[in-house]
Amino acid sequence: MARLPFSNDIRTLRFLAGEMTQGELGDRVGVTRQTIAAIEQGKYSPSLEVAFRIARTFDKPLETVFAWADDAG
Amino acid sequence: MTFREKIDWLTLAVIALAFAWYAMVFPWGLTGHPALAVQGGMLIVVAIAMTIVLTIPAIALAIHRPRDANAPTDERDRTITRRAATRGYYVLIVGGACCFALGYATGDLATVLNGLLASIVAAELVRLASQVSAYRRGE
Repeated sequence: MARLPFSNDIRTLRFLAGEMTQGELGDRVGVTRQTIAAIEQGKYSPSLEVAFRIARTFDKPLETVFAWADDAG
Repeated sequence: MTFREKIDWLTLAVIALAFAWYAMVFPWGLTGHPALAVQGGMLIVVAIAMTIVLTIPAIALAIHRPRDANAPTDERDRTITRRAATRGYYVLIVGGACCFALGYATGDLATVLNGLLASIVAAELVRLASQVSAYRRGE
C-alpha cells in the first residue's frame, strides 16, 4: 500500500494533551479508535472535516497537526 | 477487533461453508425441473441455516459489547464498504456475463440459476474478504 504524502503529529499532540487516548480523541472527533490509529500510522487519509476537527480538538492550526512531506512532490 | 469486523468475518465464514456444502451435495447430473426442485429445497435449507447461524452470534456479540454494536459507522468504515462493494460488483458483472454464455451453451434453466447463484456468492465473498482485509491492514 502506498504511503500518504503527508505526516502528522497526532501521537505527540495526544501525549501533550494529558495522554489522551485514541478512543477519547475518536469520541471527540466523531470517529472510531481504529480510524484514529489508522490516521496516526499514515494508513488512512482523513476527510478535510475530520482533519479540522482533530486540529480544533488540540486547539492547533491544521498545518501543525498535518504536514506535507517534502519528498512527496 | 470492532463489532463490524467480527460480523464480516462471521458472515464470510458462514457463506463460504454454506455454499461449499451446497456445491458438494447438489446432484450436478440432474437437469430441468427435477434439478430446479432440488435447487429450491436446498436454497431454503441454506437460507434458514444461515439466518440462524448468523443471528445468534450477532445477538450474543451485541449483548456482550453493546457500545461497539451501537457505534455509528464513521467515514473510514464507509470508505472500506464502498471500495469492497465496487470489487464485489465487478465479480458479479463478470459472473452474470458468464451466465449468459452458460444459458446459450446448455439451454438449461437450473444450470443458469446455479451459475447466477455462484456469481452472487463469489461477489459476496470478494466484498467481505475486501472488507476484512482492509480492517486487518488498518487502512
